[in-house]
Amino acid sequence: MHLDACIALCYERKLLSESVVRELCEKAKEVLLKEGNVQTVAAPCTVVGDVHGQFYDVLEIFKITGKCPDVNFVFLGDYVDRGFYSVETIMLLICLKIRWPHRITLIRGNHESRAVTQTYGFYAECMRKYGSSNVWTYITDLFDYLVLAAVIEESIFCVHGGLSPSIHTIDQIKIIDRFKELPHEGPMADLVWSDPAPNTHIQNQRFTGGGDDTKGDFQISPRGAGYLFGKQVTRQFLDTNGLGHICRAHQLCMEGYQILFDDLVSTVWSAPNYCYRAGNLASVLQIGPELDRFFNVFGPKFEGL
Amino acid sequence: MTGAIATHTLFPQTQNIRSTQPIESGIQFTTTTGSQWRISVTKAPILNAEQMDQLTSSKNLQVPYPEMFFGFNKLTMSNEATSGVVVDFSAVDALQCVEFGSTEAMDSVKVAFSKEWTEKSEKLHGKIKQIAKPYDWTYTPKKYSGSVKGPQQFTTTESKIDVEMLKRNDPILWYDEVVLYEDELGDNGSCTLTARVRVMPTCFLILLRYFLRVDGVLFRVHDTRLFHAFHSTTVIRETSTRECSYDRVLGKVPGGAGVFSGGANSSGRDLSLLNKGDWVAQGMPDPLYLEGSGKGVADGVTMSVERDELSLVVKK
Ligand SMILES: [Mn+2]
Repeated sequence: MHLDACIALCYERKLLSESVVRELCEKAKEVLLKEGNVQTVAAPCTVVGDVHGQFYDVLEIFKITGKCPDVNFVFLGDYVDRGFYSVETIMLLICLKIRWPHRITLIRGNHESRAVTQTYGFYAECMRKYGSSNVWTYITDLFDYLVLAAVIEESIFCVHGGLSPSIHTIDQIKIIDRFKELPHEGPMADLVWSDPAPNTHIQNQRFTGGGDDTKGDFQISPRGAGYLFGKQVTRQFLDTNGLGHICRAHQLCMEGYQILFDDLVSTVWSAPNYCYRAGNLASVLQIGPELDRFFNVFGPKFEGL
Repeated sequence: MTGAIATHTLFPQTQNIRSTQPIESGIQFTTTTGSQWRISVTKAPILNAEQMDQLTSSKNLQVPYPEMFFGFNKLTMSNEATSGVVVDFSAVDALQCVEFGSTEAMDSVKVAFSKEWTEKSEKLHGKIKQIAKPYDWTYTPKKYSGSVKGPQQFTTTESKIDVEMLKRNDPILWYDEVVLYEDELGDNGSCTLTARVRVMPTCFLILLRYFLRVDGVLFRVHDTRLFHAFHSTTVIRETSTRECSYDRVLGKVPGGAGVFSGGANSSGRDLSLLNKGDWVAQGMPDPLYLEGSGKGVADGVTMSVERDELSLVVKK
């Protein structure tokens, strides 16, 4: 089947046949195999956060910013689960990736995983729409090939979750063997799972014990696994690598974006009215030729109502 | 045994579902004994950063907010005009019952791979410490069973909810449901706190349900039910807790018994039922059949139940 015909079908939210999905996933693997763990991206470009199968909101993003290949895109991961149209969303992105590999970067999120998608909807959706788990298997196998990070114009570091105490330099990311299921621990897990240390909300409280989050070190999450990264380690990472900013996704915010640590870090969230009930706004981050940053905020399309 | 709704009205008449302002909707009714009621739910989107900051300082809230915190949302049961009694189930009050900074908060359940993860982390990054202010990241609203205002408080009772009245095929005059908060626990499970209500011609029932899944570890269901039969002069409250292993529930998912595994080459399984609190709760023994107040273990589920009641009689 011709690729442009597939893209046209995908834009119409049509399901591709199982054999076409398989073929496209194989083709996409070939493309991704050539990419290093850290992609370099030129500005101007548009950075997109979590979309979670909210297909119509992805179309809305293209309407707001322009389509591929007219615009350079960096997607920060979490393409599937939660929303009604995970298959349609990821297949559209996969087709665009094969067609214009240098115009769209697909970073891996923590939902691009076999373990997570069995619980949070993507597996069930594949079974419902195709009657077998084959499509889920093809696509989750492809997830193992997605890149881990991107750097825009040697200045903006893009990743799904955040920093890792095992990673000081970009070169250390480049040597990770990424072609595998997401592990529970280690640098690859940290990149897709970690969060910035929470806001100042609780900092003036009296209780002490354990680490001091006012210094901005790494801290261990109360869940008993996973790191939170603070302001100081963020500054250190940026300085070491000659970078200016970290752009990440992974956390819902009512306004669609959040700027942290005196503008060293921003969170981009691109799924409006998340799970069709949160009522939140979404945004994409448009980065101009001079690396100026603009959060283009948009609201829900009331998909499925 | 008389007591039924004489007249009722639903409000508001129309509403804009796209509004970002809190919207209150509900039912107002008078019973044949002259008791005046107003039951409502208030719904709005999750709080934004500014609203969170305001709430933090005005209420001295210390726990970091759950991912989806519907800070305006609540369910209110009011008999104020008659007895002065008002019971609220609110997101803010519930969050204030989550353990913060205590030993209990520090000892809260951990994710399945925590032990292995911690050992590696200690070896490689021994300097990195736990967060300074531990909190119960599962957002279990410990002992939260509604905020009571009015002249009386709940007192222990032997009375039970009249299940037979609820089973009757009476028309439901009003039903609604409101999410108070929800968190995906960083994709290590999920927790939701939801309040719902149904009003029938002779009684009403309110259910506050906290549901928790920690992948590979456990399930928890905490229910608070408020029941009032219009022929009576009390509101009965039954508060129950249930907890069991993850594997017990996993074994009930169609597709046979299985162990939690997510390795490559796995053919996968549809585990989305594990997100559905009602389905999980139905697969556990019902603690409301326990007599009085007490604890027990049945069929692999650890349970407790407490019963109390609130008098609607006006003291002269
Ligand atoms: Mn994520």
